[in-house]
Amino acid sequence: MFRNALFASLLCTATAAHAHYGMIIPSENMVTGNEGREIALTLSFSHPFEEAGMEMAPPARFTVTHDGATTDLTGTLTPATVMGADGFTTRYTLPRPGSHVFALEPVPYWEPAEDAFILHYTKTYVSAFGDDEGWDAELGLKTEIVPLSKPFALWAGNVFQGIVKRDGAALPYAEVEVEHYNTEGRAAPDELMITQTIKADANGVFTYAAPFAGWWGFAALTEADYTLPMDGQDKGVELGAVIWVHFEDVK
Amino acid sequence: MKVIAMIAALLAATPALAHGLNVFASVEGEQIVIEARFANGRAALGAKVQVFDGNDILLVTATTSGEETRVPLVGQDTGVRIVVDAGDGHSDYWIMTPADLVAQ
Repeated sequence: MFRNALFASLLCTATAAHAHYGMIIPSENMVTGNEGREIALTLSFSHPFEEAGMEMAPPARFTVTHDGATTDLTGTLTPATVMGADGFTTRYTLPRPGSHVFALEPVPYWEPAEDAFILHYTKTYVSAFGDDEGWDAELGLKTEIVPLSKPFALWAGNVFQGIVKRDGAALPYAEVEVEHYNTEGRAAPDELMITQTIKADANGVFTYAAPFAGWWGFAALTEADYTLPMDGQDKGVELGAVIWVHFEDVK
Repeated sequence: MKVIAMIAALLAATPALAHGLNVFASVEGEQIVIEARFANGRAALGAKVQVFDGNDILLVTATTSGEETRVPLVGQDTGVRIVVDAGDGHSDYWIMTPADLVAQ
């Protein structure tokens, strides 16, 4: 009995870690304005389904883009513990109606288990004051998911569609990992259900229907066309185009 | 605390339901600049604008005629509730606190 338990414990220890995600989670993603115009934003590098954080270094850049103008918010970030690890928070007062795109460029994260660096360009969209103008804004990041469905105002069960882009061009048949930010503590029926993987079509377009409400992260992963040094050796860099989308409950 | 009570009073006097219209207002110079747009982004033309103070007293009326409608800066003591009614149930409001109503 004890031996079986020990064996099971060892197997669990050896289980591969689930997907890493850059995360930007706003306190609200559709702000009406008359009940307050300030939102809180939480930035982290985490395993969202398991709510397990990883140490996040101060980001290279954190910005908000509205109506084509980008404002640097990096200096507003405050260190915080997020899912048990180092992350950041900030507050932002939405100045005008329309979509506000928050984007995070972290510094490369060294992942010894993968013998590679991870660099996730992460973004999320917040609609202000009933105006959705700019919901399909493309920021021109190194790699990016450009929404084809509004990245807010989605019911649970709706599909979310996006185009995976790398250096501004659509990426045919890109792999997209999908994971729920599991704040409800749901149990997955199988490990395969924690991170689901889908592929884009020949035009780089992917489609996913969220089965229940909450935050869902979509990460399109590619290998960088450059390496970074670690202990005197050149190491590969995983680039992630990550977008966080909230689906709403039918009440 | 006073500001919270004032916002609560402004909200309490709010029309029942906003529908298909979005109102936003800001201060420029000595004026309140009011923007009223339908969900498709088009400006609401000929809509009735009413500006109430925190005691629900009507201070200013106007009619929209373009992208922006300007009215004098009023209600700095109590805050204002700006109601725009474009008819057919298309109405919305925007609340400005005393802190919002500072001449720029």
